[in-house]
Amino acid sequence: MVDRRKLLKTGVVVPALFTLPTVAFSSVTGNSSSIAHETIAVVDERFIGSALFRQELVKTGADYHAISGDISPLWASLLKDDALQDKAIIGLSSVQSLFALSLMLQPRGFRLIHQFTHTLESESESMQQAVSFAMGALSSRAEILRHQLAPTMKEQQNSAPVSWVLASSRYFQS
Amino acid sequence: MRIPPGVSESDYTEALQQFENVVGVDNVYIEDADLDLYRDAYSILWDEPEEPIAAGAIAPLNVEEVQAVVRIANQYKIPLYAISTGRNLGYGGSAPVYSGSVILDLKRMNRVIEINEAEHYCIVEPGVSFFDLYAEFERRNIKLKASMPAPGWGSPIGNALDHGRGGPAGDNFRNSSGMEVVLGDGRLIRTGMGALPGGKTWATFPVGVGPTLDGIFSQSNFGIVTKMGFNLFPWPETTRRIGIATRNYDNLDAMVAVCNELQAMGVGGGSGVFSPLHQVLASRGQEPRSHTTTELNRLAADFDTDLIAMNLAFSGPDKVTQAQFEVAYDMLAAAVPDANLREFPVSRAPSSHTTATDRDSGIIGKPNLQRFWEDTAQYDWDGHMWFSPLMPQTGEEFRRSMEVFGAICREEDVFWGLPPALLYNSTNMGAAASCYCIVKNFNVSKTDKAYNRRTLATSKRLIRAAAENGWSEYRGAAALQEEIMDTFSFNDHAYMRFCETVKDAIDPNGILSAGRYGIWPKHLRENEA
Repeated sequence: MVDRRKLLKTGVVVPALFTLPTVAFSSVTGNSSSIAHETIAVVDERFIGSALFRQELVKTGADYHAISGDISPLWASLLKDDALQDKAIIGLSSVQSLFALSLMLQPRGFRLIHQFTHTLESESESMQQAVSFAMGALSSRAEILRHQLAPTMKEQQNSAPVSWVLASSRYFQS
Repeated sequence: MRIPPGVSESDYTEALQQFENVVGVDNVYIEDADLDLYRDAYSILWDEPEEPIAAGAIAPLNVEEVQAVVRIANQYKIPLYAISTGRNLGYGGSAPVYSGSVILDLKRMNRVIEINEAEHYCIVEPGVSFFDLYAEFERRNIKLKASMPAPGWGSPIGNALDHGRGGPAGDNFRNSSGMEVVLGDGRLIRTGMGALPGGKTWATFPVGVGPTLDGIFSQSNFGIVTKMGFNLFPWPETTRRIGIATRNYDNLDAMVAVCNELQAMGVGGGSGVFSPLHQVLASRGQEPRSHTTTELNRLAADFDTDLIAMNLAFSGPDKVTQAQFEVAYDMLAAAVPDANLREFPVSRAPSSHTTATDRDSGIIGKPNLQRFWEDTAQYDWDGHMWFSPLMPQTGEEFRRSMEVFGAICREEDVFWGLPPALLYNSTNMGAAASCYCIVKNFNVSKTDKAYNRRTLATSKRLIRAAAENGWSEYRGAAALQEEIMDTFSFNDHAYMRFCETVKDAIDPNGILSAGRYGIWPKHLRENEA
């Protein structure tokens, strides 16, 4: 079995949460159906494009959960479960909800491996692409380290959604 | 590999091997990818050379492992920095004060040792969060709640040791009873009635016999707290609230005087002061030209909003809160006839966890992270740093503080506005001994270092100005703890010298949390000299 330290040394997991890496895939590289069973979808349904994001995620077979801003109800009912460490979480939320969830999952070995910042104007048309990016981030793991554009929160529109992927080292071992 | 200061690479490598033998290889962290997670996400020193970083991290599972780690650290003189959940963002988070320390991360010590429903207390380990504690209440359908801050992801122990506030207790440290502590040499002690083998009132009677030691383990580096008891509170049958607001700054004195009277009489309801006008100003980044009554009354009129407001709350049995409400309402109406009084809808506790809805979260103490999507989403921010000075609970002192701090911030071009003053109290809600605590969060940036430096310099000016007026912060961001402690200078800093004497006696190798609240071990004080 590969332990966590060896995994880190091989460079599978991105170096730092707060560098907020963004993956800019030019095409869908992942095999969505093969990883969907390991994936939980978390979508803040307050955002206009969330319905389309949900539609795309549901197609992959991901286990879908809705939130409304605060991540803590879902944390208490589902996400704190140790069994989730074998899974990845794909989401669409505010950057603040992502920040809170990232820190909550940090002690369980989860890392932010993909983040895509949407614009307020282009939500609808970007959702299909956003889901593709996210699924691609999970399936083409070697690509992740090469794309760290590291936008900062200040450069983002705080009222715009971000789509993202959080996964643990155990996910990559499974 | 990062090496702690003053330690050779070979010694550190040996020590790491021994740490791994104690806690397991998967619970010793030395890779940058892991250690970067221990940076303080809200640090005002972000990416500056002075930003403290961890050289490693160790996550023990139980008190025996903590003792073993401390003994190894003593052998190799490795500086440790203990954290519980490390969520105290704005006050240091999970980062050390002394850069290069090895984080002693107590996250795996997450057992709720005991919940006593009949006597209303719990005993927990440091890795237990408010979420964990609530989950245990829910699982067992116990209708008790912890005194909890917002947000609820931190730990009761970490919060209390930093004198965090929560509802309904106020100062959560004063809501605790009994500790288990690993000292700097690895010895284990229990305080209060816990020192009595088999003591049955450890978590209910907060002192034992002889000196009460618990206080020296708060905001310090004298030991690692591994267990702690806390009072719990029954769900109140009802909560009733009165809102009072005014556009006339001169009304503040009478409003505060009534609140003080209600509190001293045991009616309670104690309220802080907040400003609806401040929210308007903050959203526009507009600073008052001064903090005089004339200017602030003018701004309130111009923006057609209330200048000052207070919310009084009464929780308990229905008949009791009804009586409290009526007394308070009548006193406020008589004392401030031109203020707007408002009665909020009565909150009633649900019959059980299973029937509770989101609207019941406050009354049953259900933790959340609303702060991270509600308050902050409207501002352009990367984090914040608190400025929280305490002052006497009078309208006069509040107004004076706004003038003093507002003037400094205008000079430094840092937004001050008219921030709120919370009531800083203890569990004894009837006591008059409480203070106002100004709660000002200065934004911090991950990219604008010049802004951060200006904010840091301004904060230092504010700390000194507060001290000159007899006010002081009760806790502070890691970057400012030394500055705050330096103002506690009575009799040539006798207090700090006493702390240093204690530090040298019970942590002779100076390995525990060096620099926390300005307390440095002897070898680092000598290096500085």
